[in-house]
Amino acid sequence: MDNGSAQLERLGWSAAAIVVSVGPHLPRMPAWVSLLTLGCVAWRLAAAFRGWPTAWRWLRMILAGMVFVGVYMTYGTINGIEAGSALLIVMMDMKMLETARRRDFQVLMFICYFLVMAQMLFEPAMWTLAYMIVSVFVTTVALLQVVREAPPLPPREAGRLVSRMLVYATPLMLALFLLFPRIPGPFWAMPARSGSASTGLDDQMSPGSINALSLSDDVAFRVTFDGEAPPARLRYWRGPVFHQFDGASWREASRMPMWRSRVTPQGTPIRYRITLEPHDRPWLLALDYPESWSGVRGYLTFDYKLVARRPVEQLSSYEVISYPGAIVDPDISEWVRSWSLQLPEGRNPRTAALARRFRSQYASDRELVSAVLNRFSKEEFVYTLRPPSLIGAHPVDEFMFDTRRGFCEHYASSFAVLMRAVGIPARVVTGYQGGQFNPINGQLTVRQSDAHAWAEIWLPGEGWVRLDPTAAVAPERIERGLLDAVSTADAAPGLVFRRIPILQRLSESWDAIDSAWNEWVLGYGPDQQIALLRNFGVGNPDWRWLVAAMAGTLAALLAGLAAWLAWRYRPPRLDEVQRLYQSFLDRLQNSGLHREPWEGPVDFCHRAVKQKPAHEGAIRRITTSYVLLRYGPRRSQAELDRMRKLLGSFRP
Amino acid sequence: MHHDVAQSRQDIKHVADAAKLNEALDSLNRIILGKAVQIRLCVACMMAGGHLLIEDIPGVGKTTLAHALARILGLSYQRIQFTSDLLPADITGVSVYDREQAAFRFHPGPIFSNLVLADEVNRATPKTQSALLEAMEEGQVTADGETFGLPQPFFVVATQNPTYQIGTFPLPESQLDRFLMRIQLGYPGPAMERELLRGDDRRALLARSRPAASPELIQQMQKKVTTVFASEALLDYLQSIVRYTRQHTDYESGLSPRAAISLLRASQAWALLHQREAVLPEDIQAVLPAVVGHRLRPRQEAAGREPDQIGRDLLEAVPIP
Repeated sequence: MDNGSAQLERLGWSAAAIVVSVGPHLPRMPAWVSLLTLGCVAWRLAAAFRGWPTAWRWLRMILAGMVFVGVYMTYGTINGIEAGSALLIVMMDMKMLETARRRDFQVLMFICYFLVMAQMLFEPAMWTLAYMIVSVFVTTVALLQVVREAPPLPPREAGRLVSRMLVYATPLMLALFLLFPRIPGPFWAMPARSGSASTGLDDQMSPGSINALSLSDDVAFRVTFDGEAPPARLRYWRGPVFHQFDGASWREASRMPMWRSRVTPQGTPIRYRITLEPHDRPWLLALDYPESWSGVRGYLTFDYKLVARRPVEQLSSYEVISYPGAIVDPDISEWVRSWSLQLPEGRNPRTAALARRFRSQYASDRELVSAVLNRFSKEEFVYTLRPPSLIGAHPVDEFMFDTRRGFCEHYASSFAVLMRAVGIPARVVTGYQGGQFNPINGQLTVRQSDAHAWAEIWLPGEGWVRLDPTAAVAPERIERGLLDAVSTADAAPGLVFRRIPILQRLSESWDAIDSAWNEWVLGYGPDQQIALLRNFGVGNPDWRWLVAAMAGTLAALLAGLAAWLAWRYRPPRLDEVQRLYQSFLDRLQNSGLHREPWEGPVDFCHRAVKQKPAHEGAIRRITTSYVLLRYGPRRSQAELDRMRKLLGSFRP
Repeated sequence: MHHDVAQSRQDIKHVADAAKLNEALDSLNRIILGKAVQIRLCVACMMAGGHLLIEDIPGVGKTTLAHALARILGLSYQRIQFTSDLLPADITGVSVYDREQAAFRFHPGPIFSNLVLADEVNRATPKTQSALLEAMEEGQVTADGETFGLPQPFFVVATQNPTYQIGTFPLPESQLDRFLMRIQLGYPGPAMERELLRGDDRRALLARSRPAASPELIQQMQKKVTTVFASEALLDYLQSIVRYTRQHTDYESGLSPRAAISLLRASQAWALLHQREAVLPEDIQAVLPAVVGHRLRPRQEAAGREPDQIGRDLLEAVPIP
């Protein structure tokens, strides 16, 4: 049934669809998968060109077994989205080798669709969607070409046809996206990926760790304030809190107390919604001190850190109410007190000596604190993105007395050490500080480069008090952001670009688009679905309602589409003559005589007369009238009347 | 049925002319046995002012048919046997130097006749073929910068051996389009063949028969063909046929506007032969296989398909609006 060139064309289209759908996966795949794919496509095309026979059956079986083992050995599993996609790709390669019949091609194209979708699991970004649309187009053209009985269409014609099909499919796709019941819970969540490298705050801090983060221009989260936004100096976004110090690095409390904190509302609340980028850690960022939150299942640890029950692996959105004026922990337990005074033995002796001197000079804690901060601002301390590395056994000493060049973690760390040395409970808090407002959508964008570290000390009666030694050294960092606090040569390239107004504008626009994509596409969950439906006056839809609405909408859309197509390809309107002739035909049809659509009136008349000789006269006369009226040069009313009359008494 | 339609007309002269043509058709049917439909198509083709291509194996009476047509319709007749060494000038004529008048004089070639039989046209080289086809298209011959009009009516009957035979130069599609119709004669039925075997020699029969028409009558009828009425409904039908060939992917390419006009003219001629003043869908259906058979090429060449099958398939695919 096929000639060779049609088969070649089918192979060509399949190869194009495979390249388009597999291509973006290959950089993630081990090299042998790429080579196998290329090899299989090339071999199949060459075989078709040269007329080689398909590979032997047993060879294909052995090869299929080998690649299966290969995937298992590469990933240690065949489950999960990476191993799963790899398996899909190599099995498709195997299928390609034996592709000959129409059904084989069809299977191949369906696998391609699957791979196109799988891309979204890895890279949920806008450009992925754009690329997916292109891939779906190419794959659909290929599918159209391979399943056709007839030889392939010219590419332009096929492209036009597929474009039309995709346009028809778009409303259905939107209805499915908007109305498919979104049930919160892990069932719908994306499977976890192994070894992904998301940027974000770490669960420990050593000199240089935040410094490294500050070079990244990635968005950490976005904030929409309900009401007036707090000024920059109050925008401390709380992340991991560190109690344990080993002389160089800070860690979280080793024995985490099980109790949860509660914040008593005090002063003016700040209400806001955060859209947090995935960072594979459980902590959620919030302004000091979060009193209540919704949209996420989380709890407040004893050190006022908002933590989710599972690591944040997808974009999450939640609402928080914070009270910046709240007094927390006016009394602390002996446990917390002892953790907050812990210092390693024999480390950083010069700092310890300095602390002793301070203690003897100032009796009041408040005075002592301002004296220390004074020291940071008055003496020769430099705030820099490129501090010299501290390699000795006493890094705090080294920084305080020798290098005196540091980033926020150096200041926070040495301040906390000094406080502990004088007997004031202290801890280091990491998180983000500041953020930039996007004038286009009014959102605050907080980037990794806004990562920050500060200290908290506990004072009797006042509870935990935030003190930021960086503010003493480089107040402009707190007021205006990192960019103004460091020299251009030091900052990340992405940061420097934002000094140019037009690029700044562009970056803001892009950020607004990206944020909308996050909110309405990636973050389209149960909450957004309910909010959207509420706009249409739907009170509180449960999943049954949603299923019914989805089915109803799809049915309505399909009916609409069918109606539109029927209208577009509607039969021409019958005029009076045709109506009369049609009734003549209907009557003959009822008596068992059917006219074929291509049968001319005279031919049909001859046949009808032969089958119904009793009505010969009437059939001939009616046909004559019809022919004269429809094909004749003159169309007389008299003839029409005659035809009507003849038909009135026509009873076959 | 068509008698009823004829009754509604008043043009007696018209009926008389058509009657003369019917007489001619009867004479032709006496000479060429069992080919009534093909003969009617030949006459319709001539009345529509088109040229005819007969494609068949040798010996089925192609030459006899052409000769009989010329004889019965009272037309001057020339036969050109195409061979691979035939030159264009062998068809159109040559200019020869006249010593007495000290000038070149044009000696018209065999093409200067009412009816030219181009026998085995696909045995000649493309250059010679195109000389014939140019003359067909333009109705004139140009030699040494001088134009010589061909006699009217001018009618070419080209015969062609099936292209799979060796030593042939198949006519290109663009030139096939110049022929209004292509017909096949085919083998005669057993009864007809028996009569052929028993009866007189066809040539002798031909020599004895007398013309039933004249070049003037043919020209008159040719003019009348274009006035046969084609209603909107009929043109709708014709256009939906043409549209189908263009939209449907079964064909390499659709019918051209020239093919559409040819189809209309042939249908009008067919209607006139049946003494009708308007074209019916049946007229289109009758001529369509001969008009489109050589113009449409299906994408998938089915082996052993009858030559008329393309046209019949097309007709069955398009409903009459």
